[in-house]
Amino acid sequence: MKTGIDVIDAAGGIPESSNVLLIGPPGPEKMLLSLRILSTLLNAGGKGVYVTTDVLPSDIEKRAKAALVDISGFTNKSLKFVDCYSWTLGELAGVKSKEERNDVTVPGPSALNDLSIGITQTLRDMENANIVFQSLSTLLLYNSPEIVFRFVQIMGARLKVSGMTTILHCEAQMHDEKTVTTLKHLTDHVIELKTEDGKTMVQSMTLGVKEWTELIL
Amino acid sequence: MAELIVSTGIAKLDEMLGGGVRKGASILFLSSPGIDPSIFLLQMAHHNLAKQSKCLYYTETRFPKAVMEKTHEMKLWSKNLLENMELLDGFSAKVGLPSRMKYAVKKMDAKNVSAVIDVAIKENKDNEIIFFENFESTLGYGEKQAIGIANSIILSSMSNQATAVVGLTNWDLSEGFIDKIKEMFDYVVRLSSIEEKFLMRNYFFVEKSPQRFMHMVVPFRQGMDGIGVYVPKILITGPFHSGKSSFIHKISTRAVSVDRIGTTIALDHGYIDYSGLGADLFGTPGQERFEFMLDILKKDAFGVILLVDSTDTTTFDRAKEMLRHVRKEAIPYAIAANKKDVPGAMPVEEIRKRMQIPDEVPIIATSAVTGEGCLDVVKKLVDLVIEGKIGRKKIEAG
Repeated sequence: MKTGIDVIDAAGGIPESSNVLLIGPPGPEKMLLSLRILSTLLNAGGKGVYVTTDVLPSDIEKRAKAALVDISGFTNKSLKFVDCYSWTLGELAGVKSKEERNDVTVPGPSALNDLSIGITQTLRDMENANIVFQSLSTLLLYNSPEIVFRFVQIMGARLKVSGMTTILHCEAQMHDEKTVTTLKHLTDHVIELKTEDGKTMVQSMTLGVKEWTELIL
Repeated sequence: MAELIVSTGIAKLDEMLGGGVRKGASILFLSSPGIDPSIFLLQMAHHNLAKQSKCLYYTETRFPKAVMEKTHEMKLWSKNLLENMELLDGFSAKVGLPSRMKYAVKKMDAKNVSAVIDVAIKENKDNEIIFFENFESTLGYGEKQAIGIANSIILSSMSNQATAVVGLTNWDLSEGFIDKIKEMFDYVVRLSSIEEKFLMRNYFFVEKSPQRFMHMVVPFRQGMDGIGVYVPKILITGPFHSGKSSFIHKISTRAVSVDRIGTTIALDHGYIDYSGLGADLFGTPGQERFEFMLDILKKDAFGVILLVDSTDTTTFDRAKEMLRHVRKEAIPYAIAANKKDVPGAMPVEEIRKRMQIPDEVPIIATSAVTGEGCLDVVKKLVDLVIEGKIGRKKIEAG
C-alpha cells in the first residue's frame, strides 16, 4: 500500500490488512503523517475512517487544510469520523456537547464498548477502509492498561480480518516501558517519530526504514 | 402492593426467566465485546420507570448527561421517563471536574465507589433497582477491588429490597475474575455475537438463574440506534413469479402488501409466530432489484428463504445468482421448491443437483396455493438461525 510518504514508500509502503503503531512526541507530527497517508488513499479512490479521542473532527479538517492535505471534500462520503471527543469537551467547556456534524459520536474515552460499536457501525458500509486511531494514549489515561490491550487486540484482529489497515497513535514518553512494549507486541508494525534540531525523523524497523531518516511531509 | 418480580423490560427474556427476576436479587448482563449491555440496562430502567418504579443508575465511563443524551438520540425511550432516574456520577471526578449530581464519587477508588452507591441506595428507600453500567471499568482499581464493589452492591441492594443490575463486557478478562463474578450474581444473562465480517448477529441467553429457566438462544439486533429484540427478519426472495407474495400471505398471521406506483418498490410484509419467536417476513416481489434485496440482507435479515419455481427450470440461473449474494453475507438460508401442486414440478433432489445446493441446506417442496410445506421451510430456517448452524456451543466459545 502506497502511503504518499517517500521514505516509507521507498522501503515498500505499509502492507495491507495490518495494524501499525505510530509512536511520536507530543505535537502535530503524528497527525500530519496520518493525514498525508489518508489523503493519498482517499485521492486514489480509497476509503477512510478517522477515530478521534483528543481533537474535534472539524479541527482535524482544519489542520489538514493548513497542511495542504485538504480532506474535507471526502467527509461523509469516503471519509467518516468517529468522534470520541466532543462529548467530553462539551461538559468541560459547559457548551453544547456535540458539533453539528454527521459524525458517529462516542460518549468519552472510557466507553470502550460504545467506541467499538461506533467503529463497527461506521465500517459496515465501507469495505477495505483504512483507519486512523488518534489516540491510544487517551484510552490509556482513562482505562486500565489491560483493558486497552484487549481492546487493541480484539478490535485489531477484527479490522485485520476484514482487510482494513489501521494506524494507531501513541504518545511517546507518556506511558511506562511495559505498556509501550505490549502495544508494540500487539501490532504488526511500528513507526517511530522523533524531533531533532527542528526536524522530524522517522524510523521503522519492520517497514524497512532501518535508520532514522528525515521525514518530509 | 409492591411486586415481587421485577421485569427485565424484554418480554422474551421475562418469559425465559419465568416472569422476570426476583425483587432484591442480582442480575448480571455479561456481553462479549461489541455488544453494549447498557442498552439492556436502560431498556429495563425505562420499562420499570414507566410502572412508577424508582431507579438509580451509576456510571463511571461517561458523564451522566451523556447517558441521557445518548438515550435521547436513540429515540427508543421516552425522555421524561428516563429523567426520573437518579444518576450517580462516577465519571466527573475521573476527568477532574466537580459533579452537578447529588450522588457523585469525589475520589476515584473502590471504597468510595462502593460507599457512594451504598449511601444512594440507603437514602432512597423506595428505590427498586440499582444499575451499574460498564462494570469492567472497576478493574482499574484491581481485580480484588472490583469483586469487592460487586459484593457491596449486591449486599446493600439486597438488604434494601432493591434489585441490582450490572452490565459487564468481557474484554477477554481473566477467567478467574469472570467465574467469580458469575458466581456472585443470582442471574446471569449472556449477550453474545457471531461475527461475519462486520455483520454482527447478536444473541442472548440465560446462563444462570435460581429458578428454572428456558434454555434458548434469542437473536436480537443492536446498533447505535438501540436494540430490536426478539424479532428476526426473514427475507423471502426468488425469481419473478415464483410465488413469494402468495407464500407470505399464506403463512402469515397478518400480512400486508405495500406498493408504490411504478415498479421501483413493492414490498410484502408478513408476521408469523413460531414457538414463541416472532418473525417478520419480507418479500421482494415485482421486478427484482438486487440493491433493494441486498439492503435488507445487510441491515436486518437473520435468514433468507429462496423460492424457486419447481416447474420452470429457466428461472434457476436467476435464483442461483440471488443465492450468490445471500452466501456472500453468510446468512442462513433455506429453499422452498414452490408450486409442488402444479403438474411437472421437479423433485427436490433434482433441484438440489441442478442448482448445486449443498446437502446441509434444507430444500422443501411447497405450495403457496395450498400452504403445504410453507411453514416447514420457515421452521427449518428458524432452527438453523437459533440452534442449528450457529449452535449454542459456538456462541459460548465465541
